[in-house]
Amino acid sequence: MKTLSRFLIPPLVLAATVPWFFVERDDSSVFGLPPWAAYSLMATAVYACVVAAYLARPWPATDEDQ
Amino acid sequence: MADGSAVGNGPVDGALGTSESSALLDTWGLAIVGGYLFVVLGLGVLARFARRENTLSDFYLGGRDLGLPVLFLTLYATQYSGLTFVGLVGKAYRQGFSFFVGVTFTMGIVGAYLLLAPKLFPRARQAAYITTGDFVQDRYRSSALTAVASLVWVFALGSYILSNLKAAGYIVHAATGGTVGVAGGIIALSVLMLVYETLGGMRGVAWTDVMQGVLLFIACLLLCVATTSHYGAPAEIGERLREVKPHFWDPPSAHAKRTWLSTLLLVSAGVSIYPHAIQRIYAARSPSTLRRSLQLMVFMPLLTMLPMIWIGIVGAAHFSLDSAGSERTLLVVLQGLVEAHPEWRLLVVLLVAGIIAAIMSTVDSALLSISSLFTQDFYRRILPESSPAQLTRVGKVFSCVLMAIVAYLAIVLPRTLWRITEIKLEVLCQLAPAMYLGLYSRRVSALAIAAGLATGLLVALVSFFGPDFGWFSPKPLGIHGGVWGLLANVAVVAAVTWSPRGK
Repeated sequence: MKTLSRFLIPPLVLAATVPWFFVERDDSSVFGLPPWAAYSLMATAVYACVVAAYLARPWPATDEDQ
Repeated sequence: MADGSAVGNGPVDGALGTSESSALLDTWGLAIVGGYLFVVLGLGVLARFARRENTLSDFYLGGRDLGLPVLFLTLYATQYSGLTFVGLVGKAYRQGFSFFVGVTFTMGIVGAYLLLAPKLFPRARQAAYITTGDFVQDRYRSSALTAVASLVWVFALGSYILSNLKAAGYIVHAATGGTVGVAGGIIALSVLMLVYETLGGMRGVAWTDVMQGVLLFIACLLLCVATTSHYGAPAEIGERLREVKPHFWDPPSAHAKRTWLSTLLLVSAGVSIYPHAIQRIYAARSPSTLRRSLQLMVFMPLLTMLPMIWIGIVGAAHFSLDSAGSERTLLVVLQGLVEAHPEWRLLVVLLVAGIIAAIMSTVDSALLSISSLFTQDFYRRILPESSPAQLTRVGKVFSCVLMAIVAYLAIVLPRTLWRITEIKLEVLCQLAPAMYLGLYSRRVSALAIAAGLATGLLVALVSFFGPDFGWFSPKPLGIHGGVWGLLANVAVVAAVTWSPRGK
C-alpha cells in the first residue's frame, strides 16, 4: 500500500503543477506573476515538499545504515 | 543533467558572445579562473592519494563511501550542466513564465529517484553493481539485452559530453576574447578533466564536484540578487512585461499544456536513468545518506533553476533580442548590470567560473560513467579473467581515447549532424521500463523489455525525425517523440508480459 501511494501521489501532484484549469487571460497579478504562473510555481513547491516527505519515510527493509 | 535538450535547445554556437571582440575577463579575472582550475586539478591529485584499493568499486564508485555533503554536492553539481546557464536562460527569455516548467522538470528527476533509489540501492550493495548494465544483467540474465542497453547509454552520454564540450570551447573563447580559440578551449579543458578523472576516479570527480557545486550555487544566487536589485523586483518586472510582452500573460493553450506535461515525463524518465546519476546512488555510504541527499536535492531547483529562469524573464522585460540573440540573454543582462555598477565586475568572473564548473562537473561524471560501461559491460564480459588493476587501467586508457574522439568531434562535427545529439533524451527514456518495471515486477522478462525497447526506439526516432521529411508536424498533439515511444514501449512490454505465451 505504501509503495502504491509512492507510485500514485507524487506523480499526480507533478501532473497538477501544469496550470490545466487556467483558460482565460486574467490581468490580475500574484507577486507580480500571472495567476496561472504563480499557481504553477506554488504547486511545484508543494511537489518538492511531497517528495521530501516521502523520502523521509523509512525505505522498506533497507533502512539500516551499514 | 537538466540540459534543455528536451525543450529544444541545440548547440550553443554564438550563445556565449563569441562574436564580441572584447574579452569577458580582464587579466585579474583570468588569473582567478585559472587559479580555480588549478585547485580543481590539485583536488584530483589528492584524490589519487586517498585511494584505498586498486579495484573498480574504488575507482568508479569512490569505494561506495560518499557521505552526505559529498554525495549531495556531487549529485547537485552533476545535475546542472553548462546549458543551464546558457540555453535555459535563452529559452526563458523567449517563452516567458511558461518556462517555469524548467523548475518542475528538474524536481521531477528527484521525484523519479523516489521510486528508483529505495529498490536499487540495496540490490546494488548486495550484488556489488558498478554500472547500470550490471543491474540489467543481474535482473534479466541476458547479455544481448545488457549490450544493447549499454550502447544506448553510451550514445546518450557521448552526446551529452559532446554538447557540453562545445559549450566549454565557446566560454573559453568568450572569456579570453578569442586569444584562446574554441578548439583550444575544448582541448585545454578536456586535458584538465582527463587528468583529474584518470587520477582520482569517482573520488576525484566527487571532490571537485563539491567545489564546483558550491561555486554553482553561489553564482546562481548572487546573479539573481544582483539582477533583482538592479532591474527591479518581480512586481515591477511583471508590470513591465504586461506592456512590452503582453502575450507572456496569456495562459498556455491546451496544446502547450500537453507539451508541458510531456516535457515533465520525458525529462523525469530520461534524466533519472543517466548512468552517472545511478552510479551516485550506488556510491552512497548508506540508505540514510542517500535519502537525506535526495531530500535536499528536491529543493535545489528553486534555488538554481528558478533564479536562472528569472534572469531570462528579466531580460525579456528589459531587452529586445532576436531568437538567435536570445541565447546571449545572460550576458546581455550581466553587461547592463556591470555597466551601471562597475564594482560588480566580479560577478562576470563568478559567472564564467560557474559555467565552467557546471560544464566540468557534468562532463567528468559522464566520462567516468562511459568508461565504466565499456570496462564492466563490454571488456570484462569478453575477458572475465582480467584483474581489477587491469580493468582500472583499461578504463583509464578508454577514457583518454574517448575524450580525444569526443573533443575532436566537438571541434569538427558539421552543424547538420548536431541534430543527432538533440535526440539523446528521446532515446534514453526508452530504457526507463527496463529499470523501473525491472525493479518492481518479477514477471517482466528480457524478451518483453527487448521488444518494448525496439518498439519505443522506432516510434521515438520516427516521431522525432518525421517532421524533417514533412510526414507530420513536430511533437504530434504536443507530445514529444520520446514520450510517444515510451507509451508504445510500455504497451508492448505489458502485452508480451501478460500474453498467454508470456506467462
